[in-house]
Amino acid sequence: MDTVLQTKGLTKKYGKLLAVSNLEFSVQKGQVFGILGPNGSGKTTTLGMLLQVISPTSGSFEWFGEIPSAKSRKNIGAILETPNFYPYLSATDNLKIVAKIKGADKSRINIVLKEVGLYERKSDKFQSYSLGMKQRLAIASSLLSDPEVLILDEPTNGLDPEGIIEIRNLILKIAESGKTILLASHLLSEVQKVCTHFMILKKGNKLHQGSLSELGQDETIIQIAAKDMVLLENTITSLAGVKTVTHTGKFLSISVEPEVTTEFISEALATKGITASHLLKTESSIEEKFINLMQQS
Amino acid sequence: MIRLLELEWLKNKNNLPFWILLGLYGATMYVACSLGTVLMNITFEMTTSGDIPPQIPDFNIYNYPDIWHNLAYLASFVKVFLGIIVISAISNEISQKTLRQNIIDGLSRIEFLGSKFLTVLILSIASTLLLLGLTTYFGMTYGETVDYDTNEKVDFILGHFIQILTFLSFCMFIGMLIKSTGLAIVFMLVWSLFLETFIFWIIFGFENSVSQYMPIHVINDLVQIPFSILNPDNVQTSVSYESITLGLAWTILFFLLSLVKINRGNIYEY
Repeated sequence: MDTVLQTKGLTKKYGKLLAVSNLEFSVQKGQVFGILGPNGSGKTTTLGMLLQVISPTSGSFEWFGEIPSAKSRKNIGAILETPNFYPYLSATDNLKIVAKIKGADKSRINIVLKEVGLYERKSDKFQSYSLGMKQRLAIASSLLSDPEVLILDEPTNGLDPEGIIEIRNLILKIAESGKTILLASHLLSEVQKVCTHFMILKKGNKLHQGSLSELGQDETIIQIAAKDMVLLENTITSLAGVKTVTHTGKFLSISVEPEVTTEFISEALATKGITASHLLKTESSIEEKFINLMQQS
Repeated sequence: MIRLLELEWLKNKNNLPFWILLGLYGATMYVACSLGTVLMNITFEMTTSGDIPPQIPDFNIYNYPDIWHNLAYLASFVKVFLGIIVISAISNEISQKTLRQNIIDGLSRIEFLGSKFLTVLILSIASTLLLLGLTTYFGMTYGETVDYDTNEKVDFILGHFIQILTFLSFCMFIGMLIKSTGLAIVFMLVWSLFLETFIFWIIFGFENSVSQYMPIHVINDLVQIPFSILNPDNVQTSVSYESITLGLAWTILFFLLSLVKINRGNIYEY
């Protein structure tokens, strides 16, 4: 597989604050790679360094096996945080500027505008656009030079549910065309629905990296609740086949071996005189993985 | 370079404030240059009413070759409009985060600065051509001595070009330095009007040899006041090589300082 991006010890300090710490990861061609983390976890700082608008304190990275430059950026379509365009210019005029910078053909402008559904509004000024339209124009702009890599930073931030679905379907459509996508998001469901691979960031540290298909195979999660939660936790922890126990809201989330069934659990509890008020087996989702990892660290 | 020029054209061709400011500059240039006709009207009325005092000299500023110097001097007062164009062209890109997006899209930092310097250069050339046109028009219409053979004082046109170039390079640097457009414009005005002179008075005293090398002083020295009642022999007769060299030196320095600024900073935090 071709490595599109490789980072080596990427670090960014703002004074004493360590925004990104010794980050090592790689992205392969064709992956939809999610960078997942809460606000302030260093996602945008990482992308900013990869796009050369933030200079790293130490460490390095390579795009397409080369030292990054303005030339390599022309082969990347990217939006960082908010869509940034000239407010007094129309969508077409704005994309003409991007095409001029990237050396893309002008004929691509109408193609990408049709792709994101903005063709009918192409002559309207950017400042008259709704947030969803601005976001779609940003995606159109990132597709303009038909780049190998797309970088999308919180692409559904601030959108209404309809807008979120629209953008998400658009990303899936682009992913199907075989492009490599780097997607930063604080929304677990977004990464889960769109990405093939992901990495979790917390306070600038990489907590986990893996593929989505790996998840859910090795773990089953059972949610359980009872009147006496302390006794329940003590009982559950001593059971065979139980790996980890974590508190999620009013429940205990227990990660178990795949053989462990809800029947087995309720029988085991009955012998101790505990009646479960809630007992639910769920497929392991990235969400539990995420919460587990956040609590462990 | 053509690519960078095309880029600036795409950014500005539908930018209404840019064209309004440019129009205002053209209009005030015309008004400034026509101020001499007001003086002519006053003296004309005095002459016809018969009460012209003999000590008032002939006040036609449009006679060759003095017209080159006179109109270049009047033009130096309205260059502030071009300064505002240059400052807002830069600080708007910073505040609207389009500078950041340009870099992300694949423009290098030096290319961005280069595109802005080209704007400075184009505006300086346009201003010089406008002054040339206005000088020809007013000279032909109101000039009493039409003496095209002499090249005397034509160098003030060059002086005007260097003056605008140096001033707009100064504005470019201010635009890079101060993020807020409004604050940058205020700083440019305050610095040009008195702050530079004031600061060097305080540090080095009233009679010092340093302040004459400072940018606004150099800019003003290129085209000085064309008459003096107290000391008529001390009036500038030509643009000195020293002034031209200092102006170009400041232009290069402002470009380099802007380059240091854009290369050092995180574009993200601009």
